[in-house]
Amino acid sequence: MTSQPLSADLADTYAPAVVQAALISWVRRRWPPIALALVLAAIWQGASGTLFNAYYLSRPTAIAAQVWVWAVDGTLWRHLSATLVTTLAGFAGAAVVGIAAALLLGSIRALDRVLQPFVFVAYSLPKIVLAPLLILWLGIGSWSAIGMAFLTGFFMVFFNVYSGVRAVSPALVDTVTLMGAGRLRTALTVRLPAALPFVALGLHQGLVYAFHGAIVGEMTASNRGLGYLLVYAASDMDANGVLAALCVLAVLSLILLRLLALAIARQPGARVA
Amino acid sequence: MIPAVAIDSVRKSFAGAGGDLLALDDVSLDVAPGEFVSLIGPSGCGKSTLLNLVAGLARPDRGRVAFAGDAVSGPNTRVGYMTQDDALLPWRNVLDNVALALEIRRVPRPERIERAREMLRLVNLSGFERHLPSQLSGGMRKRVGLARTLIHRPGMLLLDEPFGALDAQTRTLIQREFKRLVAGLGLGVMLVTHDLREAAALSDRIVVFSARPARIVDDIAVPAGRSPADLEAIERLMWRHLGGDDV
Repeated sequence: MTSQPLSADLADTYAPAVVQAALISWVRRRWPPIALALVLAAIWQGASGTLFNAYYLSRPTAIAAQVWVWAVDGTLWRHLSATLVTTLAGFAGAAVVGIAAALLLGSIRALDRVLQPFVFVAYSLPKIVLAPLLILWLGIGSWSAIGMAFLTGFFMVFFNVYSGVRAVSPALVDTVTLMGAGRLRTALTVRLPAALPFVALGLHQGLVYAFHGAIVGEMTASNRGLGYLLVYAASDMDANGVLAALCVLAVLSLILLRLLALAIARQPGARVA
Repeated sequence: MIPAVAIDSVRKSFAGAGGDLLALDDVSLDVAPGEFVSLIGPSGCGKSTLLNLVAGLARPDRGRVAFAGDAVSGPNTRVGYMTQDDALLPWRNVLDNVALALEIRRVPRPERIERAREMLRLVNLSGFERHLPSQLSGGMRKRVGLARTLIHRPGMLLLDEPFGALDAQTRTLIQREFKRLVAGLGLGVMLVTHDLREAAALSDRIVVFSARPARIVDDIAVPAGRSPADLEAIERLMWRHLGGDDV
């Protein structure tokens, strides 16, 4: 505990300078879209209440004020953390089950022939139609939202890894088969490593889709999270609240995509052809 | 003496778009232990299918395939199998590729590393242990493939145009090295090839197949001395069998 005041002290001394430098360099690199956003915000601000009714479209300052209020009273952090947990939990399940299922169907032809049509039908269904079932099984709350995030993320992981596993050169599989490798061994030493670029792609898309699923799940079947916050504001006829929740969501998805791009760029398997 | 390979009245067809495709029709062939047999014939005649039957990667519709007296009924892990495709794992370095068969057979790591190094010495690739396959030339990759195939001490080698993708000079060098290695180990070989000179230079015996469905047209014993005149006569004979004009 003694280190806490010290680190807080350090953060106070150095963080503003670091943040300031990062901000300046970001503005320098990205000034055209930033400028456009500022111009549009200014037009919006001026037109609101004069050209159109502010009740329906609110105005940037009011939206910012709403986000600020939420940030100060803790609403923002409670829902933000719920959405993050839902997304990551759904994604983790989707990644593990998706990769395992893809390896299983990609390795055992008989199983593939039986199950493939079912998987394709399930994939072609809009996942939102499963929301009532999720509510029935898991009740209104985070578990239903996690279920929705899992379902939407799963198919992205599964189909990418599956096509990668099926594209593995039969010569490689024959080679290890004649060395005495069984199916599990072949899956782990040949199929999965050979499909690694597809796994990376599947995880990338899986995370984005799990995020979408989490929001949809929160809007339809939960009582917390940014999706819920948005629907709650809408049910109050509070356009300002809806737009404020939208802004938070937009920023969150931007950060998520950025982190993902960085993770993929560092991933060594992405270079294996 | 039990033959290394006994192929008895084998028939094999494949389901194709326009009905079944008969690849092998009533083929019988015995290979003695330590014998080097080349299989030649027109493209797509079913020679590769015959190798796959011996390897246990495919099963005959009729007839029997036995390896060292035992019927082949699944992947035949006692053979070493190499095709034109290197089939090296591109994400593993040379050493780990060579040690792969031992890893699958659960040989402890220190022993498999030592044996892999020894195999790499045998094919003159010491010093390349940490290279990835993509960093090697075609000829070097072929030698890695050979080391990997030989490391688990197979009873016989099944080779399907193993040197086909190499340039002429590299191919001649590898053939020579290969012949020396195989003779040294006393290994039997079944080699599918289109290269008549390769067949004549390497084999004890050459089996000539007809166009599909493959039947055996001729079975030529190569004289031990391998005089240039003998080899030339054999090449001319094969050439005639394959429908070429006399030269």
